[in-house]
Amino acid sequence: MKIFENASVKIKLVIIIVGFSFSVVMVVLLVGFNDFIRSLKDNLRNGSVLNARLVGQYCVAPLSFEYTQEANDVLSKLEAVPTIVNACVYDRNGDVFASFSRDETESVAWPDLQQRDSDEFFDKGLLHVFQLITYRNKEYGHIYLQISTSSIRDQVISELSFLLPVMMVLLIISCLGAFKVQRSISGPIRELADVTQELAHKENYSIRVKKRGTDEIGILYERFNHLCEVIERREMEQDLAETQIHELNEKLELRIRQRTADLERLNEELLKLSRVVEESPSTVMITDLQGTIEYVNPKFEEVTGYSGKEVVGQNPRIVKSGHQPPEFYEGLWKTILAGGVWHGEFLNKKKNGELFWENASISSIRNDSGEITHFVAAMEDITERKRGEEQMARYEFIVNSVRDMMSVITRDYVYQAVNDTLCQTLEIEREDIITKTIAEVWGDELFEKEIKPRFDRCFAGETVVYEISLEYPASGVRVCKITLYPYYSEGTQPSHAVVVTQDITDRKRDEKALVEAKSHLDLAMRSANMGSWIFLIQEGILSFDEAKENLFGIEPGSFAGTIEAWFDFIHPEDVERVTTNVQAVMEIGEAYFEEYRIIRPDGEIRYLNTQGVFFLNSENKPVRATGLTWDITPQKEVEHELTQARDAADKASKAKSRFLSHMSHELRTPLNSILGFTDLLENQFFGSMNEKQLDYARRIKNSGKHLLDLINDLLDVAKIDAGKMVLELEEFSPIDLIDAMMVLLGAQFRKKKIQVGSSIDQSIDVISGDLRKCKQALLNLLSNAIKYTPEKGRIEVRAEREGASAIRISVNDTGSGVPTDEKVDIFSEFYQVDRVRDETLGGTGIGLALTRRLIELHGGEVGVESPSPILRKGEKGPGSLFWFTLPQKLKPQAKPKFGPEPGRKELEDSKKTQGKHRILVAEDNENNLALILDMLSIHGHIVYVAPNGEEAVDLATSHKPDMILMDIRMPVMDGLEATRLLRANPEFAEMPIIALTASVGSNAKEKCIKAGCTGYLAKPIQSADLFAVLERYLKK
Amino acid sequence: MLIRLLQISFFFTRLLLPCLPCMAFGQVDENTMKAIAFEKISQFVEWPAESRKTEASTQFVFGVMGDNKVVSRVRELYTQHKIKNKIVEIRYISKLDDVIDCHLIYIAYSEKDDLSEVVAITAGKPVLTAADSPGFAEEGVLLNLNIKQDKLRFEINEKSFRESGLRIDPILLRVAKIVNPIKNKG
Repeated sequence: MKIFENASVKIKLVIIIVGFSFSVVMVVLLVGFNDFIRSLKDNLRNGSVLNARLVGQYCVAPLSFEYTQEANDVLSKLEAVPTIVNACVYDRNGDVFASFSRDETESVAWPDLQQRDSDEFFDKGLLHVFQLITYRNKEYGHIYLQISTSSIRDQVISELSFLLPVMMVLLIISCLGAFKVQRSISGPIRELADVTQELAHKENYSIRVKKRGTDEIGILYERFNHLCEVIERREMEQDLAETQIHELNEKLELRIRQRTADLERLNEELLKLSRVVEESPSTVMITDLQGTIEYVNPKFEEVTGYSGKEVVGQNPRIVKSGHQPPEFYEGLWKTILAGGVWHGEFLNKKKNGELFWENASISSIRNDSGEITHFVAAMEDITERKRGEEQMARYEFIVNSVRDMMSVITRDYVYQAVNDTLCQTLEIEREDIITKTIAEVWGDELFEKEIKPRFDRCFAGETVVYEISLEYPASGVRVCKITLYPYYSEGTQPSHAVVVTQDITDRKRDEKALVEAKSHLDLAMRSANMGSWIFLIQEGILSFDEAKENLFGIEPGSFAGTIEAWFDFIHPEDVERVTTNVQAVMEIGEAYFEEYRIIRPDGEIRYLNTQGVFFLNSENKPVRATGLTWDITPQKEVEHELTQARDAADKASKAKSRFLSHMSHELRTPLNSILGFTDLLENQFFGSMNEKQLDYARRIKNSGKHLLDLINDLLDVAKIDAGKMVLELEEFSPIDLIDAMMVLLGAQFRKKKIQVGSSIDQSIDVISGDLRKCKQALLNLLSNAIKYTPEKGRIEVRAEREGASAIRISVNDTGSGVPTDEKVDIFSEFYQVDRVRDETLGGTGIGLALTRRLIELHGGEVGVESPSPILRKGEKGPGSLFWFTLPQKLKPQAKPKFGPEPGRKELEDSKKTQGKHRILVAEDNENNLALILDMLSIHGHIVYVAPNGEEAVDLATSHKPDMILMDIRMPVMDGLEATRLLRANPEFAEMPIIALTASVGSNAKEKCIKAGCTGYLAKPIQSADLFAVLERYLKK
Repeated sequence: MLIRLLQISFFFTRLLLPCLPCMAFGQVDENTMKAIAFEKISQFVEWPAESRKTEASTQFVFGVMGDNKVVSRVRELYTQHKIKNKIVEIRYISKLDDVIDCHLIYIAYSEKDDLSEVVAITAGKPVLTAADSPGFAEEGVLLNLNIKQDKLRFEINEKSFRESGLRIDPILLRVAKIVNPIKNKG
């Protein structure tokens, strides 16, 4: 780049022109050439694709019929197209079906059809074309052509051989043109450079250049000539000015010498004056007209603490205290600016912040023409005097502020001085009382009798104090305490008496009231049987009053007065607690509460309550405690009785629940048999029955079922009571809950022609709770509603939000309603609205109680309103609304996977699909066993029977059944133990073992699955359930 | 019933699985090869649109005369597969006149006595007559299959084809053996 910059304009121009034209030619050439090559490639590709398609069509039939030879024949026709190097046909699986190779000696590696990048691409001097072979929308395979691109290369070379010479000729022409053009620009520039050279070297400013045309170079020439003219004129003017300056310089030097002599003389005089000022005892300050300090003398430095250097250039404001008003300074300035002398006192501030008073005189200094140029201030320190005056004023203020009356009396009993309070109280002017005698103010009688003797004692040197009632003009009679102090001005005899009179009327009254209050308090404490105590901690003294000693059952005054003596009374079981509490409260000094027992000397135990406060000293150490103690034995006795009564009730309730639970279990076992056998009868497995028999069987079954429901409800209540009912929380949709009930009870609704409706708040997506228990609760409410609603009545179920975190489900009906006085009892066990009518309607009386228990288990509430809000005009009613709420904060637990099998299938179905199997039944109850055997015999299964777990294990080991039905409660070895034993043997790892159990609920299920059972059946066993289980597990 | 069903389904699975994805010859026996060939060859044949009385637009009527292994293969195959994208109806011919309702009619060797009559009925009609017996093409059957060196080959009676009104793609003719060729092809 440097070389280019230093090259002549001529060279630069040639390079630029030639370079530019060369670039243009190259760009045009490259763009054109690129386009040319692309069109060549496109032509080749299009031609090849066409070839591939045509040949592909001829291969359709050979491919279809798998005629390789025919396909090879078709491909061999490609010999006629010289550019095609290799070709092949793939079948539908992508395998090479037929091929053609121009050079037959060379074996060709055919590309994998799946791996190809695109259908046409250039690679290594070859064009690869893949083409799908289709016929009537059906794919038959692919054809692949490999085409040589040598034809493209040949055409490019022939094109280049023509273009290169043309380009060379163009370049030479552009070089010649550039040379010609540069000459017209660089020539004149060179000429101008030569003329400038002469101008600089020879300083010949009269030189000029020849004029040229009016282009940029012409203008440059003209401007150059003008510049030369200007420089020539300036040269001449400069010479003239230099001679004039020289003359002026000489005159000025002479004048300066004269002035210097005058100044030296003046200086000497000034020196004398300034010494006077410097040694002056007053502080001196000189400022200019603006007040800026120009000088201070050493005295100023001594007084203020500021050095001369610090204050010169500053404003006197630096010593200003700020205690004097701005008007003060305004007056000062007015005087001195008018030319007067100002006298006055300043309160100023020293450097260390100390205030001091100065007496100052300030005057102005004028110059020769009478104008003020400076101000001089001379000041004297008067702080000491000022202080004395202030002190005096303060004392006077104190004396006048005191609420007591004060006066000074001379030995002649004359008032010499009084304070303001005295003047105000006596309503007299100070001037009037001064010089008056005491007798003149208070009367002769009072003076002679009461006052004079005491004054005389005072004048004898004694301080006299006495109380007296005096009558004042404003406040009437007041009790006063008067103190007389002897005052010695000089000599040994008091010269004056100082009298201080204090009004103590109010204090006297307060003292009296205090005494009365204390006697009231004592009375109250005595009647409340309260004792008080005081504990002086550091001294270790604990004192009781008489009442407290009464509480402790000891004679008044016989308490020993130490903390140890107190502890001797405390019940041994309470001693440790009381000690700890006392120590704790002594450290922090708080209020103190305690309940404790004492043993009186006669052996009686009493409960006491004590409360007190600990007081701390300034070092946070407890010094004193005081408080009250009273007897709470009667309350304690009542409390104790109540607790005992509650415990007994709890115990009784638990015993009842245990009994109920036990009874229910016992009742269920025979009921199993009744229901099971009735089920068999009703299904007519063992011969048909007549209508009557069938009807009786159904009645037995319905009654049995009702009895079972009743027992189940009882069992649930008992379970809740025993705290054994566990919620299995999950999230379910309100539709799941309500619609399930609607379906379940559909037949009953239809039977009574009850119109049913349900409405669910749209915003409730899910409810969290135990779905089974919620269904049970809702079912109870709905069953109740159906029961008490007359034919053609109406029932409505609603789910809505109750506040932010609860859901309320309500059942409305138009039934007989609930009387107000029964609304609470209705949720208790065994309660029915109308006992007589209920016997016709049927019902256990537990439904609502169970509902309440189930909902309370969820943390919700139940309730009833009657009459119902949905009741319309004309409907009989009054109707009722039963509701319950479910709080929604509960977290769903993981639900146990183990569940009952049922999924009831039609009996007929199972009959068809069951084959014969070998089934082991372990059951000790003969009735149950007979029932199961009957059910199994319907299918003709081979059944082994074991009366207990041990035999069941033996039989299973020897006979290897397909399934085991295992009763859980059996003698010798129970079902769970037998299952565990079997599972321990790998042979029985996969065997279906179905538990038979009368216990329902998740706990029982979990126990079964833990022991290794595959599933379980709840007793009483229903035939459909049993068959469902058989079908499910035996199919495998 | 179940076992029967299982048997059938098992049979089908074993038989058809290799053919199901695409009807290809592969490693199958001669009879299957022939059965498949009917579908393949039909691809190259065009039936005139108005030729069928029956619901021809959705169904391909496959007439069968006689009963042999080819016929049973055809029956098994075309309950699953379509011909020319139409559902195949297999029709057993009980009355000779019915053959003109078929798209394709297969004549087993056992039916050679009726051959001449069938040829006469179908002459000039768009019915693809097909057989797999030597010499049948010369008798006037349009399509005659045979197996040579494990490869399926076929003869086409070009003259009868031209007269039938069926259009055959020349692509097919290239790989067929032509019987009664039309000399003045133009």
